[in-house]
Amino acid sequence: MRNVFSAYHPAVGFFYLVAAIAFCMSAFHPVYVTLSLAGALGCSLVVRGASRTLKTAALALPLALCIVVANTLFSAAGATELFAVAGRAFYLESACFGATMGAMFTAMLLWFSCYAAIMDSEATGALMGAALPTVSLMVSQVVGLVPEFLRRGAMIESVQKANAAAAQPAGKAKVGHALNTLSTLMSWGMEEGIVRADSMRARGYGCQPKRTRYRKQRFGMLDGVLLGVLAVLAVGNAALVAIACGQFSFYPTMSTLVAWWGYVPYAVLMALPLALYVREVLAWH
Amino acid sequence: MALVHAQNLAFRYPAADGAAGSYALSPCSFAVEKGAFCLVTGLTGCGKSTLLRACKPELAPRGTYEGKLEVCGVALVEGEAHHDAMGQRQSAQEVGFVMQDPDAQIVCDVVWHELAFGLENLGWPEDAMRRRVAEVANFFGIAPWVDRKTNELSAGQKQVVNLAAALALRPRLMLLDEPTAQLDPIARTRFLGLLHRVNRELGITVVMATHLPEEAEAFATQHVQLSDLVPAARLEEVWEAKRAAGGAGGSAVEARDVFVRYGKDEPWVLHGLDLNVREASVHAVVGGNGSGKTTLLRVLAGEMSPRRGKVRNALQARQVMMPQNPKALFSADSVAEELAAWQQRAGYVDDDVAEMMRRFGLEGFEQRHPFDLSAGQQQLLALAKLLLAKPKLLLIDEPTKGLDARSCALAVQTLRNQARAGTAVVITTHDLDVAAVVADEATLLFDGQAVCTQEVPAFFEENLVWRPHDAARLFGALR
Repeated sequence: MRNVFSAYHPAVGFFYLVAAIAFCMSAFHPVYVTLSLAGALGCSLVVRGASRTLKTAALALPLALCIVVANTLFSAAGATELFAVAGRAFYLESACFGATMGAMFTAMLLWFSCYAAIMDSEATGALMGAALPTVSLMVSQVVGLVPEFLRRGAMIESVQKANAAAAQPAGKAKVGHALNTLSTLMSWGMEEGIVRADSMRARGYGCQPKRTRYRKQRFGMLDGVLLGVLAVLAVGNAALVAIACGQFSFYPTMSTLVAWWGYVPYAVLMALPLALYVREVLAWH
Repeated sequence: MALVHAQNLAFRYPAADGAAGSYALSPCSFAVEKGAFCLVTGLTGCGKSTLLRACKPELAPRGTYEGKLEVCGVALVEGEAHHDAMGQRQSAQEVGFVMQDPDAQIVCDVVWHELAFGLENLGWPEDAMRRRVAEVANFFGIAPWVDRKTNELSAGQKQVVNLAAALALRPRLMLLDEPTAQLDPIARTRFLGLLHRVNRELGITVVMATHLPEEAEAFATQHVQLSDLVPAARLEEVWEAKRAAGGAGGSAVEARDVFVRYGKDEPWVLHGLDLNVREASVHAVVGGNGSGKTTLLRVLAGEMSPRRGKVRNALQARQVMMPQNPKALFSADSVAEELAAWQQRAGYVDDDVAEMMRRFGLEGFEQRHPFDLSAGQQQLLALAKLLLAKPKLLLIDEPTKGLDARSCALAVQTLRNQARAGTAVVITTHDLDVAAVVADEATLLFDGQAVCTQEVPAFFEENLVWRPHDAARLFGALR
């Protein structure tokens, strides 16, 4: 797995993925959806690898097909009749609408898996820590506590089971066990909380109103430039998407698609992860 | 200049009626000079923690003080009160504190963040922080795993991180409250080695409370004894006495060709393990970290079933098991309730409970919450609770972790008596001294297999590395 954004501040990857996902969900237009799907495939291929991309695609494809079929069967809109069964007509336009929707669904699934791969907990923590330092410290502690509690719960249960010489009478067993486990977990957790609070105070937590922050990755000049370029691309594309979608309609007859320079900025935006990847590959050859 | 200077320092917790109770720390006087490595020893409950905590203003217990205490040139105790004369900032910078529990002290999710935590609190500029974190990470050899999640570390690694995180603030004085009590011997040696370097190479004054002074005595420059220690004795003396005792009975639990793992893609924890535990005997399972000792106990208890092989446990209905962390066994709000918890199910009377408390020195702690006991007392309480169920098979994971020599001897004698009365006892332990004096038979676990099982004196006589000490305080306490 190669995170193409690893050389940049997490904010860059975050902004890019949020923009890609937002456009994917809002630009309901065959060309835009195609570009988004291609971009998502490209991004997923370089970030998550071929086999995991194929797995996601294999999951999405049957669902996408269902959408195409369902829309063709149940949406009786359009003008170009494909065929008729028992006096009911099926139209090309609704099939196209369904296909676009299916493609959009697939693209979205891929973009979200890319997001999960690129924005791991560390990247998310770095971003959140900047915005909400105290909350992020709290969240990271709570997130750590959940698996710890589950693990301990399982341990307590297994110990109770193993202590057969002191087995509960059969009838009361379940409720009693659960209550005991819960009570042990609570005391254990609270006691640990006290120690943790001591450990925090011993290292000066709260001794001055403002803490500073140790950032593993600094927000550099290049990160700023890249974010700026992304912002310009996002705003520009938003306007172009609005124009294109405003002029396009599926029903009753589909608007004719023509070559238009306005698609180019979107194609550029979608190709960014691939471009970053290719740059890296070339650098090592 | 003395960094810690105590003159007739004593402390009492408030009693229920508001007046001062009995001494939690009896009057003591000592001075720790700059650059010293000072050990604080004494029996469980003699006030080691209280003394150390009194030296760290944020952690100082509330109650009635006596005498005088000066830390880093600041008078903390004068007369009855603990003065907060130091201020949290100075305290955080000058006095580092490491506690016993490796997990609970860790605040952040990633190692580098934990190292930076104290510096962040003091509002250090970013560049200076990076330098400090880099320095401590290198000094402690943490650098290769500085990106790891803290909850994925071993207990030994966690404790090293806790030490490093305190040292990132460059304190003049390090206070450590039984920092190695929950570590296995290898992690313990490594931790103490690092602590020695901190003292010798960085010139930081160290005050460490410990119940196992043997291992740090080699480099300690000073020793404050809050109560008398048991003198050491030679192993032979104890062995002679044990040899005279009777032999073991027939097979109680048998495992044959056992294969176990925790998931289909996980490695085998046990593969091809054979073990035979006899009635009326103590069987010790020794082996390094991750050799499968804990898993083996779970398999013998029938609580995990082998993927291949067989376990025959004739005593399953009469078995009890003590987990590595005794806290998993506690569910009541007081020691007395804890011991009475199984009364109906196991059918014992109040007198049995009282007798158990007396035997394990828990009298006077009846109303204490089990989690408020020291780690050693928790271990003894767990053992007492299990024994009340009158088991015929005792499975115990690390029965002596965190126990001082005298409590350890008590646990050893208790287990010996159980075996003499006909109970089969299986313990896992890192502590070869314990294995040598408690066990009739011992098994060395390595790479998921029992590589050898022998009667005890013979087991150790053939070993070159896996040997008990020739002399130890435990043997003295058993004499």
